[in-house]
Amino acid sequence: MSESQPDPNDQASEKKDEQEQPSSEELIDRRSLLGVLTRSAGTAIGLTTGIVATVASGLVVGVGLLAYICEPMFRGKQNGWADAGNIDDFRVHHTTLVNLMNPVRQPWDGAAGKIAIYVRRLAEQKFLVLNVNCTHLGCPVSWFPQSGLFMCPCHGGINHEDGSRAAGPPPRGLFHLKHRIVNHHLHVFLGHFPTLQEADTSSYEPEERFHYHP
Amino acid sequence: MNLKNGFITIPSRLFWWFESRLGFRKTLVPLATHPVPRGLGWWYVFGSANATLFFLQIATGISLALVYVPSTENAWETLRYLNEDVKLGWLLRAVHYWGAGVMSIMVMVHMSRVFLMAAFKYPRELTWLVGVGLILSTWGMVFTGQILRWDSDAYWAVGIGIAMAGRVPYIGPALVRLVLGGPMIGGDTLSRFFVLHVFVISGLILLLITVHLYLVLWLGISARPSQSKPVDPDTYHKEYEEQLKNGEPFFPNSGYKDLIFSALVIVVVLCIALIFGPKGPAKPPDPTWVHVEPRPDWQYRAIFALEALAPPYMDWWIMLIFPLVAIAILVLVPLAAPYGERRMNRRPVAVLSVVVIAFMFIALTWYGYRAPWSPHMYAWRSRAVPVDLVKKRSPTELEGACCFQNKQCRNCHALEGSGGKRGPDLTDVATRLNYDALVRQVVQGGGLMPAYGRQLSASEVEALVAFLRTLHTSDKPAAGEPAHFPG
Repeated sequence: MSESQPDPNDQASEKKDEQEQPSSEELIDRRSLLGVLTRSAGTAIGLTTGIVATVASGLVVGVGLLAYICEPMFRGKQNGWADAGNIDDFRVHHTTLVNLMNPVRQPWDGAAGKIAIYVRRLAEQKFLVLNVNCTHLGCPVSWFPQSGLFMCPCHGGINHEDGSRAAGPPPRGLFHLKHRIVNHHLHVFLGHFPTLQEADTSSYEPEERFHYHP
Repeated sequence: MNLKNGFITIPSRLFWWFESRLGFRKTLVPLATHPVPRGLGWWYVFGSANATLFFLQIATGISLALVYVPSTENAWETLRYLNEDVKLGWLLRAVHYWGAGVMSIMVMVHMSRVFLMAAFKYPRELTWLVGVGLILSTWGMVFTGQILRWDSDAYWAVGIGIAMAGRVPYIGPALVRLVLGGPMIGGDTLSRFFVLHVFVISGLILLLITVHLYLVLWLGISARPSQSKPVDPDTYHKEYEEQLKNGEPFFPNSGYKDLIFSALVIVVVLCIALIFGPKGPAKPPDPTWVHVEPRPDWQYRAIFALEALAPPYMDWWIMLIFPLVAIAILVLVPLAAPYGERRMNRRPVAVLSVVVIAFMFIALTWYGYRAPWSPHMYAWRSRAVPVDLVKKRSPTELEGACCFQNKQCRNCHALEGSGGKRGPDLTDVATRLNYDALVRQVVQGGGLMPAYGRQLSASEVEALVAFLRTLHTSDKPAAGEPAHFPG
């Protein structure tokens, strides 16, 4: 709409306005009103688009990053088979501490990629493989062959030679690990950090367990 | 421009060049000289001391990060390098460690001061809530920081932390993998803690400090309770305005105390760091070295003691419920008592709470250092049976003394004060337990003691009890058999 075009009804409407107007500030003509309405509509559309665009892009980036950070949560239990050595290296009725490389380690883990287990040979072809983590809060237990006890240095949990709970805060016996004998070698299935809810890799069920859920 | 006076007016011209562009006279100067009530004393300096300490930690932390490598292969070696091969590297590590320690205490002192003076009441409830966020973040920095030391204590501290996380119902195992960044403690774990310590929680603290400062400046410093009436939202603002009319500018009249105290705190941290040096690193973190005694930094010894002392059925409550309840109580403090009396002598519950909680924390921390529940793993082969306890003993009794050592009894039981503290000192045990009671105790155990009946043959039990029966001083007789009950 051209600004310079004179309004043909100008004089007449002005005279009418002088008689009718209640206050001089709020007077507006159609052209200005349409202008205001257009600009308001434009601002509203612009603001809505802006907010929607920002929220959408923020959500995409945010959810994406959150998924990236939380991805380990959605992996299941991860374990792998590791070779614990020739079975003839283990004496019957003796418990040995064995150092292995964790089969689910990262290449850059360094020393943290190592993992230790206790292996007790019960008979010629029968083994008991225990995790070193105390079931109370995960500290490594020490084996004492003289008394046949595992002792935990943190809060004093004690376990018998078969891993069952003897005394102290642990709610159950030591965690058991799945194992098999392949070509005269003991293979152990291990890797994940054991907790009370995701414990043994074997199908072992501990007989006694403190029921601490209210 | 008059060149003859040019040199003398350079400072003035420099000042005005900046001031005309920064406008501090209209913004920062009024802020710094805002009125505060008179007679505040030195009780209000702890907040700024916290900020000073935090910036000290940032400065030393940045310096440490120039050398420290957050990889499981190299972290321990870079810390050893800092300790031994970098000029004054040990001092840098020491300042960062002791700065964290002093800051942990200072945040608790500041919170106690605010609580005891009821400065959390209307209209400063939000300030308190932001402060709760700050104190939790500070403790988060302490935990993640000690992990970054990545020695044997740190490695097993991660294990303990995730063993606790694993107990959360349903989502426990997923939480464990989230914290570990994978199935096991590894490089991804250290990276996560590094990011948390250096970026996430630090950034959060900076953000919360900003909000905290905004609130403090907007709402003003609360007057001393002795000068204030009980808080009533209808009349508080008018009373406060009256107090401010008779107030003094914060800077320099009150702010000089903050400057002096912050400087003093820095000097104290430096002195402690110079005297005591850095912490560790302890042994390198090798998962196959199982003969370790993991211990947390002093800030977490109280929880360590609590977990050891609590009976097993309480474990779940202490690990998962108690922290949530404690945080909930902290959050509810200003919401439960936003108005009313501020003076300490009219608020006995508040004063008693602080005294009791402080005492509990100190007692548990001290107990966490003594750790009597931990067996002394090497006592059985490093502490000989005291000579006077084996003199003039029969062969069976001597065999029992050997049994006492070889079966690791000494790890938990002391003789004449040396040995483990997990069980009672047995120097006088024969005066307390007769023959039957001794046999029962050895075979069945009970409480903190395992049932040794599984670990000993009958003759070993016989010899051990024979030895234990000799453990009484000559003036006190051994406990006798009870008389048969009549009928």
